[in-house]
Amino acid sequence: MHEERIPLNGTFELTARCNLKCKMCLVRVDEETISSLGLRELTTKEWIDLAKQARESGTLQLLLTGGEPMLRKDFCKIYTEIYKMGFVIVLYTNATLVSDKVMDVLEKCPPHQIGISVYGSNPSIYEKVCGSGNAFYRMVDGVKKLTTLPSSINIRTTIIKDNIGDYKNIYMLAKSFGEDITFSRSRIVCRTTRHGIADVDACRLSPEENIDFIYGAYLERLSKDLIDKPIEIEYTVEEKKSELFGCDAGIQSYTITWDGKLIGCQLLGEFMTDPLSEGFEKVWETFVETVPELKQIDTCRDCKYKLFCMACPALRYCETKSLFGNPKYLCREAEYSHKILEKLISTKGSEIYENV
Amino acid sequence: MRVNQNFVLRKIKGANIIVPLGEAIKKANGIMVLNETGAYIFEALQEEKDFEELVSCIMVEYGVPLDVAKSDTSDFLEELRTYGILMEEE
Repeated sequence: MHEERIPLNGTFELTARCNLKCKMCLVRVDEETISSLGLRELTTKEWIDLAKQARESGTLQLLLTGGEPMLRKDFCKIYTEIYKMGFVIVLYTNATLVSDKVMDVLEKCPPHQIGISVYGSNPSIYEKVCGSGNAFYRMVDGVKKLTTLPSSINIRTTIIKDNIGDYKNIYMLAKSFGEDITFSRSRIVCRTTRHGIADVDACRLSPEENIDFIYGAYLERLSKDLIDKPIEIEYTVEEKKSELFGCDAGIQSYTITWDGKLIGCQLLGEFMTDPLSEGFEKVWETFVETVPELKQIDTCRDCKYKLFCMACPALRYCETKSLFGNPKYLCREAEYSHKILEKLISTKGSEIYENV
Repeated sequence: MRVNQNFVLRKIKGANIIVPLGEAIKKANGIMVLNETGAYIFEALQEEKDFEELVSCIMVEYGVPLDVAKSDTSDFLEELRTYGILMEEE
């Protein structure tokens, strides 16, 4: 039995195209790939119709994302029509295409939240990460415009080999745009989903580097505590819910892909229903029937590192293109996290503290 | 008085949720959940009404005495004022 399913949180992936070519992008597809796949993006009318249906079915929060949504020539039309429907609107953008026309629309219809991706603090890093140095200047200009809106602003970054040395500068740049701006970084850089064309393996940090980077600050804090008062760590793993994917996907949230399929979350590439031909409400209802019971993977059941494991069906899919694959990158992350914690406890933090 | 048209009432599976839009986000960038009476008042104030008219509507709708209707309505309207939801002529 499933708890009551309400499609409260929706994601509309308006396009998978982008004006930037970020090396680690999960989603980006170019026009050649789209035509070679025989697929197409939804039309203006199709997005607006789907939004109306999603509203009727109970969607409250709607994330408009891409690719880069402002790359669509009809972005202003789609955005304005959807905004009027009364969603809590979240808009993700790289802020490099914030034209006067876009600002006119956003001033009349400010999103409740804007997530802006920023991947470097100067043109040279933008050239390396996003394939365009000039994009840095356009991003700065765009962020300055967007911060004049009453929207909550979250600057988001993703760290790869090319910008890890720039991380502190990215943070400082983000904070320089305004005191109220929040800053976040991706926990993991996973391989592409669905038809994404980026070669993520070539640019992401190794699992060990990623853990050192992500937990560096936490370790510093933890180790200070441990020096004074040793702690005992209890290893318990909360059993994940067996329903669908073990999270809100398909229970309270969903994504409509750029080519018009309803899926559980943006990372997933399986279990797709077709709201264009059958209607949103019907495919939301039947979506659950398309997902088989996802039992715990045998090789993972007794893994001693599972306390530290990030794997979920969507990440398994991105990493291995199978919901039941063993995502080696995540296995190495979990093993390394375990090793760090053990070391932290045995040395009461002092040794690791010196290395962080 | 009437409600600011930049606030939209969404009814989702029995919950009454107010979503601010446009200019309203400046003062209230978040949702507000109303109970049934709150939602009734919000809908009643889609058209201009004075305090006495609104209290009469509530007495009829919920069968409560005048003093209770006045007191509860007054408290709720104050809440609406705080978030810029109520539009009143000077």
